[in-house]
Amino acid sequence: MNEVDRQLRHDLEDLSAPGDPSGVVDRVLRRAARRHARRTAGRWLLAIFVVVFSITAFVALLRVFPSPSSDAAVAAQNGLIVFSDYRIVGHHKDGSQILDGWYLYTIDPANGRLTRIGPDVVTEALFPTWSPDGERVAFLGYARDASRPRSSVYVANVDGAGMTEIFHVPHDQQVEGLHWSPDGTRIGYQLASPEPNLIPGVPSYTIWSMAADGTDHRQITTSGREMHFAWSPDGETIVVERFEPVAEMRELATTAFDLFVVDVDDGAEFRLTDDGVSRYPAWSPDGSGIAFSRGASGDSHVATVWVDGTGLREFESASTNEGGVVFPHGNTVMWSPDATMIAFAGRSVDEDVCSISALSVDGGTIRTVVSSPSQLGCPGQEGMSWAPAMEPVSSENDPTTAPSPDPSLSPDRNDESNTTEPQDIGIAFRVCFAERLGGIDHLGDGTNGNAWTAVSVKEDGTCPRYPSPERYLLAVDYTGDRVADSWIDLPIEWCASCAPWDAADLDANGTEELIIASYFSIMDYYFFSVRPDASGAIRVEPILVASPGHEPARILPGEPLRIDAGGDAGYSSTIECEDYPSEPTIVWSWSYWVIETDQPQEVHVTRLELQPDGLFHVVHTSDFSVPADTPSGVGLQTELGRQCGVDWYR
Amino acid sequence: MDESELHEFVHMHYPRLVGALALVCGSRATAEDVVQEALARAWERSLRGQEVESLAAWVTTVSLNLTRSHLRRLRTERRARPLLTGRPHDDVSLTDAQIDLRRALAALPRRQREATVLRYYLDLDVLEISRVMETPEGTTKSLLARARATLARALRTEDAREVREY
Repeated sequence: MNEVDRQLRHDLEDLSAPGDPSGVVDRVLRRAARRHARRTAGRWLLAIFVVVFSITAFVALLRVFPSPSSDAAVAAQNGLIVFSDYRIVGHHKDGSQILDGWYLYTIDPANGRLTRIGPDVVTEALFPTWSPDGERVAFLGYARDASRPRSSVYVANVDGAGMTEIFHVPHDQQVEGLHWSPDGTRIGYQLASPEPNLIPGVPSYTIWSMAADGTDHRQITTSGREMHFAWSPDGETIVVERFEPVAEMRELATTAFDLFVVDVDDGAEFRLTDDGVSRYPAWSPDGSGIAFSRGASGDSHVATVWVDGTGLREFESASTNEGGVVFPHGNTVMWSPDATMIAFAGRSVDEDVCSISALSVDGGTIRTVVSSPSQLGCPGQEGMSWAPAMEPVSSENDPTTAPSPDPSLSPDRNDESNTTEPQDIGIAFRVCFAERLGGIDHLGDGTNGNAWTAVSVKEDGTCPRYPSPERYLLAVDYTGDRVADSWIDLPIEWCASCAPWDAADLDANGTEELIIASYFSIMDYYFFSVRPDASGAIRVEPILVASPGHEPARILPGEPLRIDAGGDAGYSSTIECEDYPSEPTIVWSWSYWVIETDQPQEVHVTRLELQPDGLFHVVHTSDFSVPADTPSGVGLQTELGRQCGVDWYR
Repeated sequence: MDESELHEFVHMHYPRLVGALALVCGSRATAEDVVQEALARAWERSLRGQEVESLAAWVTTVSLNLTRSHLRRLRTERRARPLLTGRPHDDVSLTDAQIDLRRALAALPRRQREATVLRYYLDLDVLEISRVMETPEGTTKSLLARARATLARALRTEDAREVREY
C-alpha cells in the first residue's frame, strides 16, 4: 500500500464517522411493517371504493359529461415520443461549464431511433408536449445564462429549430406539466406560486391554460392543491390529481392524492378516485377511459378506469415507481395516439434502471421503448408526449414493397414491436431487447442490410427483466432480407443501452463500417466490420487498433477501438473528421478537467485512419497540457454537426 | 433472515455503511435513511420467502441505488428553490484539508466516487466492489485508477505519477 492509499483510507475515515446503530432494528422493523400495511390497506380500500363509488359516480358523471362521446374516432397512428431526459453532453467551448441538463429527445417506438432535438440555448428543457398535429412541440426552458432560475415556455419545430418564447414565467412562480389542448388552440399548465394565505413554504398549485401564442391566461382550478392533469379529447374537461392539505413541503411525498374531473369553463367537478394513491392521469384518445399511476410512493403501477370511475383495471407489472424517492414533475403515464398502448415512465431502484415502456392495453404485455442506467434523471420523469404519425407508413413497412415473409420462419420473426418476449431474428436462439438499424451497405454491393444489438434469452427461454451487459450480442444481415446472417457476442466491457448507432464508410473502400454506441454518462462508440475471412465466410468483427497505438491517449494496440463523446463531471471530448469522404481521418480529442485544481490539464489529440489492413492506425498525436482554468478547446461537439458521415451527438 | 441476523447486521455493518454512504451522497441523514430503507426491503423480502444470498452485498447495492435516486431528486428539486424555505445541511466542522478532500470527492463522477468509498472506506477488494456495483472487474479497476489519480492531486501528494501505474 503506498502513500496515496494510506492517506485516502486515513482521511476518508476522518471525514465520515460511522453511523449510530442504536434503535435501528426497531426503526427498520417499523418501516417494513408500514410498507406491508400500505400494500394491504390499498387492496382493502380498493374493494370498498369499487363497491361504493360505482353506485354514486354515474349520477355525478352525468352533470359533467352530458353526452360522453362514444363515437370518437381513433384513426391516428403512432408517431414519435418526445421526452425530457437528464444527460451530460460536454463542455462549453471555453471550458467554463459542463454542458449537462435536461434535454429533449424524440424516439420512434417502431425502431428505437433516438434523436436529441436541442435546443442548447436553455439549460433545462422540460415538460414537452406535442401540438395535436405533431408538427410543433411546446416545452418549458430555463435560460442557460441566467444568474438565477429564469424560465419561459417555448414552442419549436420537431427538429428543435424555430424556437419561439411565448411566455416568460415570473421569477417567483413555477410552471410545470404542459399539455397542448386537443384542438391546438391552448396550452394547459400547472402553476406553482407562493400564496400568502396558504402554509408558508408550500406553494399553491393550480391548473391554468393559455392561448397557443402565450397570451390569454385562464385559471381552471382554484383549490391550490392540483398538480398533474390531462385534457379530455373534446377539450371541455380535464382530469387532475388533487392532494390532501399538507403542513410542509416534505409531506407532499406521503399525502393522499386522488383524481377529479373538472369542467374547464365552470369548474364543476366530480371525484374519480378515492383511494389516496392515484396520480398522473392520462385521458384515452377515444375519451372512454383514464390511465393513471396507482399505488403509494415507491410501489405504484399503471391502472385504468372508465370515465365514470368504474372498471378499475390494474397492471401491477407496469411499475411506475419502484423506488419511491424520485418526485416526478411531469406526467409519467400517457396513451398512444391509437389508444392501443399506455406508455409509462418507470424505474427500478433495486436494479437501478430507468425506462419509458409501452403497455399493450389488450394483452397487458410490456416492451421497453427507451431505457438507461442510473443517471441524475430518468427519461420521462420531467414530461413526455406521444405524437400521431405525421406521414403515412414508410415504404419499408409497406406490404406492397416489403419482402415477402419466409414461410420457414416462425411467425414472430421480424416482429420488432415486441422487445420483452423472446424474438427470432434468424440466429440459433431467440433474443430480447433487439435494436435494429437498417440501410447499411455492409459489403459495398448496394444491399440494404441491417444490424441488431440484442440480449440472449435466459436458460429458461424467457427474457431477462432488463438488458444484461453480459448477454449482449451483435447480429448483422448483409443480404437485405432482415434475417441475421452472422453474429458475435458483443465485445463491449460494459454494455449500457447498447444499440447500433450509425454506419459510415470510414476507409473509403465502398463498404460501410458499423458503429455501436454504449451510453453511460458519455457515449462510447465501438466499430465493427463485416467482411470475408480467408475461407470466404462473411464475419462480423470488432475493428482493432494497430500497433503501437497511443498509450498516453489510452488507444491500445490489439484492442477494439473505443472513442467517446461527451462529458462526465470533468471529462470532455470531441470527435471531428478530416478529408471525408475521400480519405477520412478521425480526429479524437479529449481532456480530463479536474474541478478546482491548480494543476495543468492534459489534452490528447489523436488522428486515426482505418487502413486497408482492416485496423485503425494512429497517424498523428498531440499530447499537451494547458494551465489550470484555461480553456482546453475540447468539447461542444454539438456545434460540429456530422463528422465522417456520422452524427455522433444526435 | 430472522431478527437475530438483522441485529447482527446492524451491529456489524450498519455503522460503516452509513459512514460510506454519507461520503457518497454528502448527507448523513440521507445515508441513514437509505440504509434503513434497504434493510426494510430485505426484511420484507424475507417475509415473502425471498432469501437474500449475501445480506451485506445486497443492502450495500440497494442503498447505493437509493442514494442515486436521492441525488436525482435533489437535481430535479433545485428548480423549486425560490419556492422553498431553506434546505438542511449537515452540521460538520471540517479542516481545510478535509474540505479539499470532500470537494474532490464530490467532484468525482458518481461511479468513481462510489468505487472509491467502497475501496477505501468499506475496505472492499476489487472483486467485491464489482459485485456490489455490478460492473466488470476491469471497469472497477479503471474507475479506481481514475478516481485515485484525481484524489492524489487533491491530497497534494508528491507521488501523483505513481497513481498512473496502479
